[in-house]
Amino acid sequence: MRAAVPLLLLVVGLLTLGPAASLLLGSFSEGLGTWGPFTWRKYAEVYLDPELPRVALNTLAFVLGASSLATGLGGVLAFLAVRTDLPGKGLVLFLPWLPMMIPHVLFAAAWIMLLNPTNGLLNLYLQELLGLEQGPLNIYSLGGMILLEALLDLPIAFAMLFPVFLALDPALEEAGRVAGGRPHQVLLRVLLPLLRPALLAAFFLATIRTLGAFAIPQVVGIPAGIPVLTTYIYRIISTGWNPDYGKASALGVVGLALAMVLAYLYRWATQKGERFATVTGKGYRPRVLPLGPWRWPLALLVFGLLFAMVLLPLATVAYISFLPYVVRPGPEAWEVLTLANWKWAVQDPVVARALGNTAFVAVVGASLGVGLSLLVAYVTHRRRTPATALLDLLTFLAFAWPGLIVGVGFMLFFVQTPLYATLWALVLAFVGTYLPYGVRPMNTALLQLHRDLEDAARTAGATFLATLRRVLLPLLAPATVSAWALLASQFARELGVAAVLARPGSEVLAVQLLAYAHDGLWGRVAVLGLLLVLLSTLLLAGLLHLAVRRRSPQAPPPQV
Amino acid sequence: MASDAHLAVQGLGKAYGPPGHRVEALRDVTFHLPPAKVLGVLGPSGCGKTTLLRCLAGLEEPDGGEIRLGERVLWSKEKGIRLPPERREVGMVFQSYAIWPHMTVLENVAFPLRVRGLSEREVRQRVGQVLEMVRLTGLENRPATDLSGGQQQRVALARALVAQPRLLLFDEPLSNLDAQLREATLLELRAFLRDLGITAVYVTHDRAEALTVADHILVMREGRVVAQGTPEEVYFQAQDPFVVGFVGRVNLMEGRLLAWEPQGRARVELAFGVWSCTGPGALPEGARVLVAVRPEHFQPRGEGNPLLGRVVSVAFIGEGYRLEVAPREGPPIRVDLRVVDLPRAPQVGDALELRVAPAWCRVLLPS
Repeated sequence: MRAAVPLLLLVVGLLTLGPAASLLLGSFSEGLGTWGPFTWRKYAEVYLDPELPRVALNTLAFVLGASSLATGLGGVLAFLAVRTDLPGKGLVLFLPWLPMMIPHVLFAAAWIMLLNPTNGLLNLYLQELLGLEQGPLNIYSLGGMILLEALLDLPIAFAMLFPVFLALDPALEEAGRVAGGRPHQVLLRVLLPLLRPALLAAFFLATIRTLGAFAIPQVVGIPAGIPVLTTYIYRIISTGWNPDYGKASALGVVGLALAMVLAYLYRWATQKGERFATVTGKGYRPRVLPLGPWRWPLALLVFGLLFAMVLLPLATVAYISFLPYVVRPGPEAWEVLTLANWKWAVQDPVVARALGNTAFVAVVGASLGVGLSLLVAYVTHRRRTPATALLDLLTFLAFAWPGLIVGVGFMLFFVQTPLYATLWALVLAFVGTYLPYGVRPMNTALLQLHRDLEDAARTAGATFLATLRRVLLPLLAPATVSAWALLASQFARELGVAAVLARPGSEVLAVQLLAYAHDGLWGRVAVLGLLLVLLSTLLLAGLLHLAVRRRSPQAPPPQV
Repeated sequence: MASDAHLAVQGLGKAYGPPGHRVEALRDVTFHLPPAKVLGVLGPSGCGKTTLLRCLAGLEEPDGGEIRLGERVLWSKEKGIRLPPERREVGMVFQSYAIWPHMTVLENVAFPLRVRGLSEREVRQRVGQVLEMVRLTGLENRPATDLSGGQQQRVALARALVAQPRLLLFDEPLSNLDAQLREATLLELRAFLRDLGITAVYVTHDRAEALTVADHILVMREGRVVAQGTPEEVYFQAQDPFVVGFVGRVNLMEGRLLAWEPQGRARVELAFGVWSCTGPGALPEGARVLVAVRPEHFQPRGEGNPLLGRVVSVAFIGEGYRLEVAPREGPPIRVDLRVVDLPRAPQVGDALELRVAPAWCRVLLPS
């Protein structure tokens, strides 16, 4: 086991530091797509671009707007679900699962179908209803981008804040009331300060996601003429005969640094939150606040939001997939109804290949990722040495890096190897980029496993390997299964890294989606997107079935 | 199942932490435990007792010294021998029980036999025997986590015993049980260990537990062995004021040694008078000393050193009274009296005249 640490350091170092170092080298290199004679020129060119200040401002507005909105909505939803008598609040709990299902490009496409200014379906209805000359809403705007990105990141904020509300000791508030505070005073002086670290942590996590966001800025923002950091970089590497990866790197280096600052802030906020005694792991019965006359209006609002996040976009793309062009539902639509898009998807060899590639990348990548995560988590948990501390740091480093920028780093790295333009390049890049997301559930699971459980097996006469096989792995099975599901569904949808690395032959569905969205072939986007939803659902359902069938009991409750 | 293994630990040392901030968990720990005896290792938390146990099990590696069990060397720095835990033939009961939650009672207990590759028939037979011994027959197929705390504790014991280890290790095994169950389990465990005749090491911070269960006691402090002997020897004859205080309640009274008398008696001047005490003869006359008297050794009548004072506090604890008695001079003294020795319940303010035999008044050198 001791021998495993240097090997893990090498592998994890290559997967996380590798692309970052390549990016840095590339940004100082003269050659295009290679490491070559040293130059400052790329920095000069890219940072003196007169468009850059506007890109920076767009990015700032997009990131702050979407993160604040997502955190605010997530917080309100979590509060309503935990602390009030909102009707049907149990449904809200499915929220964290939803982003695992819908590809972001598909989500954007659905809302473009609904809210584009010329023939967006909702716009047409509103136009008729209000007797306007043109559609009142325009999705191709900064506001539209912020709204869509916020809806996509809302579940993450919710998933972070929900357990915090649940673990909040009601005695802390009761003490405030007994001490003479009126309800709004207790809210302002006790509850909000208590929640501030958690809210900040959720906000910083949202900023990390929005800074790295690529699908919404590309599909909605580029037609709107609103480039942000990721789409600006993508434009550099996706236009012209000889894309200038050096310029992209010069910008990407700053993007990585910015992401690391955000990651640091996120860690600072979570650690501050842990110091507050509110989250003790004790199960409190939360005090339920009666909503009174607000009950049904709020319920309507909440379920409207959930409807807008899942059912409406899915129904829209399903409808579009049977049409040659966008038509309002009605007799006219009935006449042009067609199976052409579906026929195309079944017959086109590139679609078949992309589907196969996507499944391969998801299954193989998730398996490799979970295996590596398990090893890294185990080693960093059981041995506290400078080497394992470094390993821990290396895994955390990649936590906030935007996929598209890391993709450029991997690109520069793989170009030097035979892996370039192969599926394995995608697999390795995905594993490296998402390693922190695999290690985290493993860490949590290992924290809950008392070390005695392992030691008992050793003193009972089992070797280290027998202990691993008969005690550790069975006990870690639930965490392994959920980490695998998380990674597999993430890899199936992954766009940023794939958009840079995929080449003819190694296409994946998410990148094909982006290409057809760029060409405005919405029927094809709808079909491919639904196929991707189907694939992730199958992956998750299969796994869930497996997990339920051989359900492992949880660790025994701690006894005092 | 009797074990003939003699446990010998020689010069064991272990330090943790980076250079400059080393914490010495074990310093030159040496002891011998005859076969079929139970050693109670007692000490405050952080004294190194758990580290010692984990070194015996092979879960931690000492920095130096030697561990022998019977004729086998388990660990020796000099000889370069380091047996991994699975080859030491030990059984261990953990503080958390460490019952594997993904296995049934049977699977938990059968584990040591299965990893040794025994036939399934033999596994069943031996697990059946050992479950009968710990009175868990009939619960074989229950998920181990469905059991109560006391039952889980017996599963842990059965699992430690089933492979017939040569040495049994206990790490605070009763600390997760409630007080009543703890006392019953303790007596049961003591009888059990005596009957089996197995060599065992029992680590605890609870003095009553250690005194009850052990044939020999080892008291540790800051990684060092500060006292060892039979429970009676440690309780009555320990010379270190820390040990005397740790193994039982005690009054430590400051005084001055006036003179030695025949039969090893010492005249000691205390705040409230001169007492006749027992102690080691090596002390010079005029030395500052401590006199240790346990509260239960005072009597309301009879011969011995007198203690005159007023009752300043009374606590009734069922079998008797815990009093604090303030003498003419000096701090109050703790006194335990049995109900049957008293004519009536003592009250605060009562004047009492108590006696304590010189044999129970022991002269210690201040540490």
